Amino acid sequence: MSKIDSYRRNFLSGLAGTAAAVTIAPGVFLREVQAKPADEPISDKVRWGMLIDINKLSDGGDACIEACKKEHGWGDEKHSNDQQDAQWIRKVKVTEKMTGKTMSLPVMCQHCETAPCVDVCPTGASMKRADGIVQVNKHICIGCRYCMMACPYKARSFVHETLVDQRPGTPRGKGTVESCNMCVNRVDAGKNPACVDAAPEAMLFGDLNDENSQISKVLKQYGGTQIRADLELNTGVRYWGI
Amino acid sequence: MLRIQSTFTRFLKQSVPLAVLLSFLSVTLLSLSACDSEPPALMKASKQFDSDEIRDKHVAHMRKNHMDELMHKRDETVYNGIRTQKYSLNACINCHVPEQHNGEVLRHTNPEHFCSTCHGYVAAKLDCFECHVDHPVKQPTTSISNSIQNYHNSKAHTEIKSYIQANVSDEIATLSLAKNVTFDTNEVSDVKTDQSNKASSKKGSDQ
Repeated sequence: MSKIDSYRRNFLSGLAGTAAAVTIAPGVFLREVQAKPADEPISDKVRWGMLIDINKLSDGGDACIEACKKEHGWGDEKHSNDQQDAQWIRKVKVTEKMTGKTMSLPVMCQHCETAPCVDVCPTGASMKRADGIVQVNKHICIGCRYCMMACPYKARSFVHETLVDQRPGTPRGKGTVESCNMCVNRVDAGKNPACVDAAPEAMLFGDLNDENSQISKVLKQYGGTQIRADLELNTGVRYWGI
Repeated sequence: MLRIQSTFTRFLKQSVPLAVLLSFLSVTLLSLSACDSEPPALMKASKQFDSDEIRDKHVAHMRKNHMDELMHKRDETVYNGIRTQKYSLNACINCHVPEQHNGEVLRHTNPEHFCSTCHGYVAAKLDCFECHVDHPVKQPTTSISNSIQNYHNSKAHTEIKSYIQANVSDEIATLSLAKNVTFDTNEVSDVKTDQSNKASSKKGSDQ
């Protein structure tokens, strides 16, 4: 064994106990997501989920929003007004009336298990993938916007203008509804969603069905809040600190 | 005699429209064969096949079936997350459309665009590019580079660095840092070189 290999082995074994093959230091998880082979279909054994600790988001989620805009190419619609602009992820400021405590949290599609947007879609364009990611199949979306009305999180927006120069991994076009798709193109390639990579200290992405995944472990230990848990949608996005 | 004549005239009456029809058909067919039935010349793809045989097969298959292959693949991708390069629209675009043409981005509205040349010729509406990008684009590196930046600013990174510096020589430290943190973007190489520069300058200052 070469000097370097033996060093690497010692170095990695010194960090053993932090689980996952891709840990490089305690607490730093570069890639928990395992890449599936590109020709293999997704499976319902996996359910992707996300945990956001809003106390650790020092900027209230601005970095996540910027990363999302850059990944998916939204946010520079030239002819849309404020109400028409695309909103894949928004910063929502909440104040508790009693104490006056304010907090800011990023809100996007919560990837519900029983998604109201999927229920109401007349064409089946609003869909949930086997792995729990909710997205719009823009090939068959007719732009009726029922899903926008059905979504309790106001997570969806409608493209009002002709677009050019979209991102190759994110087709977007006039007359269709769009929302956070948990970066399906990245997840299928074994990467984290762009927002998670932009704020790795505050966000965790992983498989909720796998009890050995980091996200399942911490959720089991500390729990995680759903927004509007009373609707019993079993969201895939959970929060800490609200 | 009269009967024979009437049969003859009846035959004539029937055959005249037939003859007219036949002559019309032959004229049409002749004029069609005189038409230029060759498809319009297409822009050359950036990558070429190893042999002419494979290329000819690809051309013949795609000329006839590209729409079905793309339609099948789009559903495989959207519903099942299958993102192989074969029949991927992005892969087609990356090979068939140049990044720049005459100093400009080649859009599908330009008749010289690979897809638009034929679609214009046969007057078939091209819907793909209402949503999909019509020219090759380099994948964004920003979000990944952000994460690298965050990582390099993080406490964990400094801890690792100090651990390595305390325990091993500088050369191995540089190598291992570069090998453990691997991202597949161009910017990483910059980060790596920054690292090695820093390491070498540190080494110099130590000496």
